[in-house]
Amino acid sequence: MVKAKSRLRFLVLVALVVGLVGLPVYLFAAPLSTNPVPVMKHWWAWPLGLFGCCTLMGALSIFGGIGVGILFLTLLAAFSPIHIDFIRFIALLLALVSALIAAPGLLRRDLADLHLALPPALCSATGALLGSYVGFKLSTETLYVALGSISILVAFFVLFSSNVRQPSSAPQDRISVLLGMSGVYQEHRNKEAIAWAARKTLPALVLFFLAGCLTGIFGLDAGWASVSLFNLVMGIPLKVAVGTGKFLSCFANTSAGWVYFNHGCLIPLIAVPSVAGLIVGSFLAIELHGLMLNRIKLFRLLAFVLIIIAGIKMILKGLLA
Amino acid sequence: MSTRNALTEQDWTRARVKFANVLFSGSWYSLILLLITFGIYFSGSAEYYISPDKMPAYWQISANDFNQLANTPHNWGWLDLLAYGDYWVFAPIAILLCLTPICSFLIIPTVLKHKDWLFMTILLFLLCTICLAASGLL
Repeated sequence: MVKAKSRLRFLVLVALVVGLVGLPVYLFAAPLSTNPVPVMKHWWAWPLGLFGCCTLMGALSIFGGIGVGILFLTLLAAFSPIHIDFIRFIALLLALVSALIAAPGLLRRDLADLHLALPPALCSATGALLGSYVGFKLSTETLYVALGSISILVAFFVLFSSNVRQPSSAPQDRISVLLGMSGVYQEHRNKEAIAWAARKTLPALVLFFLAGCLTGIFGLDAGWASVSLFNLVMGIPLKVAVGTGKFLSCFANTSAGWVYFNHGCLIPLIAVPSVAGLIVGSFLAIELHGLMLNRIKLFRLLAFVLIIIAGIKMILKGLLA
Repeated sequence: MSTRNALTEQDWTRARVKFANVLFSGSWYSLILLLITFGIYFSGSAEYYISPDKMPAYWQISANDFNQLANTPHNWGWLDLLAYGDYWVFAPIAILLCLTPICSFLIIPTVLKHKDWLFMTILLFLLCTICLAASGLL
């Protein structure tokens, strides 16, 4: 316990030093005005600052149960001078890396089902592909206003929606039977085998397509939507819904990610420190999760408030531009 | 699965574990490669295509303007610039983006073995969608 507490203090200290000292260094660094492109003397402060911020965001997303993609996307789009094209790609990359790291464990433990995941993955990936092309056609101002509004809605949805651990059993529909969307999973605590079967497949697939479109247009990971669609619409038990939803993110984020990658939205100097910060933050948060159990509501509220403030700032940024 | 017998289920479990193992190794190797290539780029050991001190000015403009102003390539054109340190980092990111479709190919033999044609069609459409996104044709 004492060791964990000192480790937490160390984490906070490192993040504060790197994140909150790195950024002021950037702010005080005087850019040299050479034409046509200005040169920044202390450019290295940016990757270090981003690493620190993403470490904090990765930890906050685990403690607060909110996707790191939406935190990164809203906070950076609202408060940083980085153009939204680059931020959207990094947000997709963060969501993809987080899904790629989680998916193998979920697949091995039978918490992500291939038959359940692939039809929604096709809808989601197609939506993401079309959405990303639409996203490049929209003006920056429109994107700011729309993303600001959507992030506020998503924050309210995440805070107030309540998923059902074990949805009531309802008859499996014909499409679900045809696609083999049923199975059994074993509850780890009491070794009880729980059978599940999908329902309302067609409306759910349409909604997966729309969630995919949002992923493509805004770079917003659709994990929050996928879990609720599996759980509340299709009646899948929460554990399988969370596992399959995370696995499905791999497909939608890959599809949209390629479009952004091909449009030249990758700037390694900001993308790599963000991904590294997310991984470090998530692992440290998992390590310290036990200590934070009684403060989870506080972290959730903090993430919610941050997203709301960033959402309002983005709407203003778009309207006043 | 209620709709599949035990033997079929064994095959699907094997396919799922294979998918998971390749995804696991691929992700971690790509991330390690990403950190190594970025370390080389950040340290200045390799030649730059765009000097990092110019990047804070470039990332404030849209991707289209950046590509025009800095004369950076679209689609797969980055492969021609692999001699520069900043473009080494593109390779592990491209591998990360390729992992999911590659792993999806691995389950094709299981799908073919069980003649699950509807699932096969969905899988092929999914792979075509990702390939279309990756091709830069649209």
